[in-house]
Amino acid sequence: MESQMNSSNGVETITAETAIDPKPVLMLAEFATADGLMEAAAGVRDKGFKLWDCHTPYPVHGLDAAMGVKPTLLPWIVLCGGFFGFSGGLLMQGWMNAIDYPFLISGKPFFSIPASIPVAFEMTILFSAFASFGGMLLLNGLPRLYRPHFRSDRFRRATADRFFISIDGRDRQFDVDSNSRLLQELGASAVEVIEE
Amino acid sequence: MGHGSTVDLSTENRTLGSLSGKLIALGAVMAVIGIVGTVVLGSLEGAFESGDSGQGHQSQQQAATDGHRVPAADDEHGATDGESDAAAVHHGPTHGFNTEWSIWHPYLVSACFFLTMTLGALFFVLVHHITNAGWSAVVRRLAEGVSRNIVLMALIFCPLVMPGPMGALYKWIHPDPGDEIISVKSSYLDYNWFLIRMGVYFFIWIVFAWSYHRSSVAQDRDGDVQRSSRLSRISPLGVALFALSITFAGYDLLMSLDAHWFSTIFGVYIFAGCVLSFHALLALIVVWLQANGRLTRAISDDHMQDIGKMMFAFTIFWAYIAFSQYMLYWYANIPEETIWFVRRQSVWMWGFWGWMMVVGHFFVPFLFLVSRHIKRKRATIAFGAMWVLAMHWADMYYLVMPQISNGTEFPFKMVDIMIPIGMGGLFIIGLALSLRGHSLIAEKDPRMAESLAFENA
Repeated sequence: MESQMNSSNGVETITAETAIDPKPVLMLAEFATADGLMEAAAGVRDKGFKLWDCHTPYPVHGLDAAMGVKPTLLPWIVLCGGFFGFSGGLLMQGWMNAIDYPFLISGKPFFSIPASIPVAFEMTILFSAFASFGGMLLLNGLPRLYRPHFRSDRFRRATADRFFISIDGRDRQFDVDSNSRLLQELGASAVEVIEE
Repeated sequence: MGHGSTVDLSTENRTLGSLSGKLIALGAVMAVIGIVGTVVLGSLEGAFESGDSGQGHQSQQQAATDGHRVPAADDEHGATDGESDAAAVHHGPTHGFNTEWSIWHPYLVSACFFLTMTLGALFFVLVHHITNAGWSAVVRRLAEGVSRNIVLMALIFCPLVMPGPMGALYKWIHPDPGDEIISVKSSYLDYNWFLIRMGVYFFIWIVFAWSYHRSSVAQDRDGDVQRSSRLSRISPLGVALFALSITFAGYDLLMSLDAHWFSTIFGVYIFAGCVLSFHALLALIVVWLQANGRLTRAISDDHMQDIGKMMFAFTIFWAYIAFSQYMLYWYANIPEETIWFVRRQSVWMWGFWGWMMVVGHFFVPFLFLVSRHIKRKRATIAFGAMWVLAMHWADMYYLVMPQISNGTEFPFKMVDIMIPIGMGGLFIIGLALSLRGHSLIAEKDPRMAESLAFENA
């Protein structure tokens, strides 16, 4: 299915055999150490790339800063989820207990704040959790069944003992020749281009 | 783990040095202002006019009888009357609390405010040894220093446990004749037994605070790792004794102000305030030390964020406990239980104070501290910490003061401000004495490298 070519500049190209008119969609650079990755990530960041990512077998502290990752929107989504759960919990109980099916229980008011707080609290937690889980999936573009990364055999070691930088083909600055030169200058032990 | 450059401790300014003199001077000024202010303003406000405890007892009894027309007080009698009909016929209704203001009420508010902070520090030290916590090693010495102020707190509590002040504060010292509820509790609410208990509490607290601090400072010199594991081994005992002592101290000092009332969650409520207020104090100490060039790199934004997280967590925990107490009493609606809250809603000012607890002690710090940026910036975390401390004082005020006039008036006086200022001055002096003469950081703690490299993921 796959064919591999080694070009003269040391960049491997992986192309699907079934592809008609293959175009480069991804560039992968392999690094042996986390420190090497950190330095390279800072270099890629300083060149102004937007659509690129790092892949590490474990969380590397300080990588976010080295990549120049912007603060995530997720906390605000979770906050909205929490507010929705809290107000939704109160409204739900008010509607159920006081409007839809009023039922007098031990002389308590049909609707009262103290009695509604536990449910509103639990709803806050529940919807915050939903918002953080769903928001995380959404912002990461997950679930995704296929990524071009999977075509690379070398990339499998990203879950074991290698560190990778990937540059997406849709990035404005994506260019096979100049990008591969940059990544090699930044200390990549191997650079691959994936075409499809 | 850490890939950032690790801080070299030897390049840090890590002793109090000349700051201890500044702190002592500041504390002394505050103490003088507080004491003079209390005496002068207190005299103007008639704080010292009430007679000795014997006369106080008479007038309180009078006030209690007069208090019969207060509707909130009537509710309470409903519960009492069934058991003590005969007594009630002869002696009128009985009360579990003193209604007359005395200088010892604001004194108790303030003493409990500083005691809870000090105990929060002791808990911090113990629990971080239990969990073998890594991140906190850089600030643990500061907590050990604050916890040593427990000796000062013992001195501050000495005048309070004299018979006169006790009689002014606690009705169970001189209960109304025929008070069945207090009489069945009299084996526990007994003056001598109270003194013994207080002695035991302070003994436990002082022994743990001093031994942990001593061993930690000794480790600075000899670097013996065994010291850390020894402290970790005994800390479960320490936390168990701490839990028991703070629960019963909460019952004795604050809950027994109304000896007819009870709440099984009261000790936990006090504990929540302890830990919350200590983390606020710790944040302030760190910000102040760093503003004066101490430990500027050893304590990083990440450590500040974790202190802020603990404040945030215990803001929620406090609200959880406070609401648990409120909701169960609201739901059961038993007069002998709800009376405590009814008394705190009888004038608008106390109603406002209660809402201030809900909004100011929970919603405001919750929403303020939720952001990581707020927790990492020194100015904002310091503001949050000061807010939390102010609310913690208001919380102590809310526990003690509404018994004055059975909640029918808001008893605020200038001495309410002056006494905390004076005690705060003494507290600062104690802190300076406690932190000086050795490093501000547990230099040779085996977890120090981990702590210095700590980063929030």
